[in-house]
Amino acid sequence: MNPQFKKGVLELCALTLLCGGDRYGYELAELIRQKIAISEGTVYPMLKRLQSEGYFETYLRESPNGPARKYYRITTKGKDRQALLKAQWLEFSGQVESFFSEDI
Amino acid sequence: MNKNQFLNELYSYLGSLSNSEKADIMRDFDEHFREGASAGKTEEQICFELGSPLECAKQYVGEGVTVVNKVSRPAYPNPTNRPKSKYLWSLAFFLNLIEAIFSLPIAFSLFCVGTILVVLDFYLIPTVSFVPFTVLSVSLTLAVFLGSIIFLLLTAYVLKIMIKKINGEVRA
Repeated sequence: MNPQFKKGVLELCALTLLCGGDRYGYELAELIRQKIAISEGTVYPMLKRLQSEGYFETYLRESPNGPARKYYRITTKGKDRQALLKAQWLEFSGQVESFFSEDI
Repeated sequence: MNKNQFLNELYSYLGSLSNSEKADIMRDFDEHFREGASAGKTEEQICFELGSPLECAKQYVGEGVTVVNKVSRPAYPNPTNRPKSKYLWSLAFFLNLIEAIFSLPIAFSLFCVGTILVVLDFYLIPTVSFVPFTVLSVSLTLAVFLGSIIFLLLTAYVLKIMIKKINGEVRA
């Protein structure tokens, strides 16, 4: 898949996952990789970028088995971003799909 | 590849980032390995799923990753890169050294003259006013100090931009 395109989609996936509640990095990386073929290593730079843009906040919480985990919590700005990207995605994918169904 | 190899290689590519940023990134990946291990994965498997350390680093640093690690990617060495920035660093060092050699004695002597004038003014010769000279001396001292600091900051800034440019050119 085209890397630039994938980057935008991954952003939407991460934002969407976090809309459903706080998660830690490993969890996010696994959830995304199980559905989309990516290198999990690229998830962390993306999370860091989104955090620096103010879409997430992070905090540390003890894990049951060892040292603290870094959790990501979506901000209001992040939720707005998710809504925007989702709308754009639905519009775009709808437009592409129309090529499959119509006789042009 | 195992955990240490992955983390070492990743770290070696993060050259231009600040130490706190590097520490934060290494923390994230270290946590990932811990979580993977407690989910029953081997280090090799986790490395495989993470992908290449170079690709990860590129996402943090941009395309201008400086490859200085001899273990990795023999195809990428950029011999012009490191000597050039090294040369720039020594140039900056000498510029600042020269600046310091000149400005410190000047500042110090101005400071001494100022102190003497103040002493003369208040304690020894109360009839003659040295105030204008004192003010002049103090402000000159301040000017020399400020000048040094501005010079230092300016050199550091120009150097940073130049090194970034060189790195960018080499990688592009």
